[in-house]
Amino acid sequence: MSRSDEPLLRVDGLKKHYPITEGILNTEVGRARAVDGISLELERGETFGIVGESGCGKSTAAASMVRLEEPTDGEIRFEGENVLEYDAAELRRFRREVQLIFQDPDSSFDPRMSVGDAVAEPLVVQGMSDRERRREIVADLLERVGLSAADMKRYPHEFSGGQKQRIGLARALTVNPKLLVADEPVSALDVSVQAEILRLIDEFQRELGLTVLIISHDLGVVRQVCDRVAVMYLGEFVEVGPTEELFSNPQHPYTRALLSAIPTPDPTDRGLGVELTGDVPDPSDPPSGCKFHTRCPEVIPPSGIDLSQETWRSVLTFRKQVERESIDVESIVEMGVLESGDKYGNLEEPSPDAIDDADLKRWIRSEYDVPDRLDDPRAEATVDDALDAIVDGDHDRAKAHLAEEFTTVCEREKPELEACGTEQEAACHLLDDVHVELDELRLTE
Amino acid sequence: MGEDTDTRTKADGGTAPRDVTFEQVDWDEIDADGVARSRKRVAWLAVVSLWTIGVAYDLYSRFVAETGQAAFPVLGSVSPVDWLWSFTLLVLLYYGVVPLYENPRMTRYYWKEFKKNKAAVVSALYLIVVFAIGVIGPRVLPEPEPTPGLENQPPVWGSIEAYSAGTSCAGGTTTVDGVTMCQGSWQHPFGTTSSGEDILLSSIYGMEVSMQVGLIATLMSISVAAAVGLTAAYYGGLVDEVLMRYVDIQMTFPTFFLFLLLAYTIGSSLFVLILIFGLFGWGSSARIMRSEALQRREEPYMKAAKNAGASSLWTIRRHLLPNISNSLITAATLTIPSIILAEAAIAFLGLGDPTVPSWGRLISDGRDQLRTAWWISTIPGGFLFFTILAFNFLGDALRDALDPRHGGSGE
Amino acid sequence: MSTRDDTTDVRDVPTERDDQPLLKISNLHTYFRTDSEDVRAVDGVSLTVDPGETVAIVGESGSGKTVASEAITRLFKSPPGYIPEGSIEINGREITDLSDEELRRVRGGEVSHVFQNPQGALNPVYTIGWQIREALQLHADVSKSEARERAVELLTQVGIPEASSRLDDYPHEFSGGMKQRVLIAIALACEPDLLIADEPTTALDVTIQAQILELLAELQEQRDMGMLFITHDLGVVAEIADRVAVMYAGKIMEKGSVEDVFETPAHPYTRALLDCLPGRGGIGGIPGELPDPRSPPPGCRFADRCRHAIDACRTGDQPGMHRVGDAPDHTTSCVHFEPGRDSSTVLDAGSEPAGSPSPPDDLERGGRR
Repeated sequence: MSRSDEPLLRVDGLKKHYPITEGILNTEVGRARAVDGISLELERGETFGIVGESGCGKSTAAASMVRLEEPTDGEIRFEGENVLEYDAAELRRFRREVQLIFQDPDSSFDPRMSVGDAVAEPLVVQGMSDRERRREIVADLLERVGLSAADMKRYPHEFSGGQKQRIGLARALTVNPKLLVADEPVSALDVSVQAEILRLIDEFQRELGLTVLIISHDLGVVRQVCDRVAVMYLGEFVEVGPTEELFSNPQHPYTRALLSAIPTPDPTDRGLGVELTGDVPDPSDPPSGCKFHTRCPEVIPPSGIDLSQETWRSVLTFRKQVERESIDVESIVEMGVLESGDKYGNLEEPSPDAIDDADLKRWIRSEYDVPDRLDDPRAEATVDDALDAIVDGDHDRAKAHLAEEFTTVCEREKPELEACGTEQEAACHLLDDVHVELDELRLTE
Repeated sequence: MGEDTDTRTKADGGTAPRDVTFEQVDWDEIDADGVARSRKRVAWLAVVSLWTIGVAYDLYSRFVAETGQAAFPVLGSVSPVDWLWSFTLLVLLYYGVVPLYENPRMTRYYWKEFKKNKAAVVSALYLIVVFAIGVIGPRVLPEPEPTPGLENQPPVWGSIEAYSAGTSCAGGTTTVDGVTMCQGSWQHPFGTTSSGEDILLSSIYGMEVSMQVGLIATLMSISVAAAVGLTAAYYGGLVDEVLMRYVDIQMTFPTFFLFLLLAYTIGSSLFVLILIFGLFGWGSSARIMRSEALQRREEPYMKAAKNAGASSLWTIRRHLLPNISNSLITAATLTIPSIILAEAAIAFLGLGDPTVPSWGRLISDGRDQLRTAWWISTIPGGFLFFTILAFNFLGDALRDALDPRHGGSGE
Repeated sequence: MSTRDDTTDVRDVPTERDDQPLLKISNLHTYFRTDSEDVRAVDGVSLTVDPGETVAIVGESGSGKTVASEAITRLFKSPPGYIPEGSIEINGREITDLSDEELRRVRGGEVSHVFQNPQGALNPVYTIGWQIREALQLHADVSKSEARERAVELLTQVGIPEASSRLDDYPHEFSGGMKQRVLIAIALACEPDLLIADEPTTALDVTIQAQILELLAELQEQRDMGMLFITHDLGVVAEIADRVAVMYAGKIMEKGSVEDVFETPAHPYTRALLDCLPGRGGIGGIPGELPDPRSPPPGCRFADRCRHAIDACRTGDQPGMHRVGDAPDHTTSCVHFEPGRDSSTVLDAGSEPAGSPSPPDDLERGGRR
């Protein structure tokens, strides 16, 4: 049945969207794109990691890959067979090949089921009716994960978190799976226990030739145990590569930012790279083009505009605010008046009309950290025009001005994963050196 | 707890590998095997089949062959209520007593927890006594009969003016201040009613009625409620919508009035009463269980079961149901007393079957003579009162005791 | 603020503390009553925090670090919790014997808390503005408009853009990181002298954690506020703390300046904990479980899991705090550092190599009851 040249699991363009519905008729008003087209291949025996911040869709991706959630789109092949076409019996057999370890050791066990029953459950539902044989298998497994056979009669609450996670591993192994998917297997545990569990998984992997897929937000964990890693952001892989290469030579700005944000246990090396401002955007309304461009510290400026990255970033933020019409002139005035002291000190009701246009423009600039004067004359003129428009209350004109001048390739075009090393791939426009030329081509045509 | 650590040999050198490990399972072979059931399960299925055949035969002789109630060897003829009652007892035995017997460690733990609540222990004892007498008494004791001449006899420790009692006095008479008093006697320890029925006997028969009504109707009601509530919560969506809207509609129609309606059309009997309360009174319980199950459904262990390859039915039965048992017990302990009370109320109002020796009917019998023959109403009333109270205490204690998360590590 | 101002200028002498620290905890015990024996969550902890200083308590779950921080303003549930002995002084004033009423004035006044879970700490039915105003008005007599102005100011300080327009938003309209900022704003509302931050970044992503840590450091510098930072993450400790106390099973195992402790970790527990960090030592962990907090074993609490345990570790009380090397402030509760013993058995042991030779059978299950 299994073709050995096939990878164990091949996922192609996997998507999982959750409809957002409203009203009693459940009309769909939008979709949360939790997983938005990911592809990967798991080779037999390897450990693959998916890292990302909370809400990036990594857990949904894992659940969809093993059909605990029905994917919206895409293809999943396990040993060459199309998983999405399995009927109930085949799916049950598939569950034997793929097992999960869950994040929360406390809630992933039925509190009313003894540990022995919980570990034996996969055997029972898979049809092993010999009670004595089940007992033997469970006893053996519990001992092999470092507990005792007598623990079978106990209940989950009688164990510590680390012990429960061992039991979770035992439960996953009972049916001798080929693929083990571990969704944040250690993030609820103390560091000293984390290491033990990871070691145990590692030992079983070597002993049984398991393929392991680890989902984690913790880059340290992933670095320690994975052969290959994918970095996920808003439902997409932004970078995939062998662990060491990816960590030592990250290609995507998001990977770089993530790595720099990890506190090092070294008091002489202080100061975290706080490169990312703001939060992850709403997955039901993801940014256009490269989904990371709203937070990216390295957005590519349009050709012909020459600004420092910091200034360019602030101009971009300003533009986003204008686009969302969330520039609150009133409150800027309020703060401005408070800070300016004497000049407007006698104003009863601070209103935009009573303020000098130049002052107001300056305050708006400072609110969004846009320098009072941009070095690039073209950019300066555009920002100034836009500010004029805002002061006049004409947001549409401001939007148009800014959009015309400051649209970057990052928001216009979605970057595809492309090779940037022997096996490393990243999805970033910084890596395609052709984008500028392309731009030019399009303009001339 | 030292014994468990080294029951297995972990000798320093080469340990004999276990002969049964998970790697050695040949799953294709297991797939090829059919479903095998445990002996206990087979026995249970056999008992249920026997029961079903009995009911079918009874129905056949009543309605198809029209030879009247079927006569069974040993049992004789079995009334519809007795059919339900026997099934209820079987279910209680199989799902209540057998698991406790099979799992002595858990049973000891439950008992340790349960013991902490003294009121509940007393309640449980009281209910066991009432239940046992109610089940056995009517089988061995004569039915209470109206006895002309022995009306309004006082209980053994009391007395009544002779003119208020019947023509004879079982315990003889005395004269106090010139009034002839009729004394109670051991012949009728709790006295008699105004028609001369023995109150002790009637109360014992009343115990059976109350237990039957309370337990049968509650079992039916809770089973339907659990099935509906869990199905609605587990599947969600349209299934949930349809089931819950039906519950809404059903709940607009009070069970009590439904009974009245049916009592007028097809005549009131204990059987009808039990059916009505059992089949139409589950709305609020279903809602409670659904809301509980909705929370449980989101727990990761539900996903873990799915991950093991478990079917929906398995997941509902093995994970969802046990984990809403708190709600189930709460619902049951609210339902049992309310149904017993409802039955008593119906009998008290004279709307029930007048031949059924219910506590409510006895209370009603004595209501005009509270001043002279107070015991007619108060003795069965006392039984009713303490039974209701005991069920409430018991429910509270069970809810606390049956949760393995409370308290700790066993011994 | 009612406390004396004259003490605040004689700070900044971290060595000998003749002068008054902001927070001084001495021999603090906190027990919880149970059916059987009391759970000794905190069992003799001494600690000081100076103004402008960040002290981190680091420990794993069950170490008692959170209870210790809650004991300061008696936030734990009481009963069953109680403080059988110990003293807590804030600005020189003993607060263990204060009445609930007096203590309430301390909470949110001189001492403020920021908690781990930003979702649960904000009331979902009130606006952010309302909740900040509430914090202000509980402790100071301010008018509504003053409170509003102050709220805008606070939100701006904690880095919430367009603060005035967000005052009327409800908590669910904020992201996790933003909620934590709001909670910090609430904690700062009454200008506390001491901020107790209990795992404030644990529920957040690393990129957001970096933002919050930076914010806390910044605010502390501006206000010369003392900060007691509770965390399980040694990386965070190295990032933010001036001094650190390592807790295990209700006791302090080691304390000292961050540089000293990370440079020369002395207690075997600290060393094992550091070895667990990815990239520091190896994969392995600390085998065993915490001792039963109801009846802790005699001697050192860590002895059962310690590689260097000797007979002396299993008798008597937890060893006293012994100096490590020449560092004035660096002490550890380990017998190997007693005068007359050779501390190099621990210090030179080195970390266990990766993929250590211990077979799976050696994964002892610890002292489960």
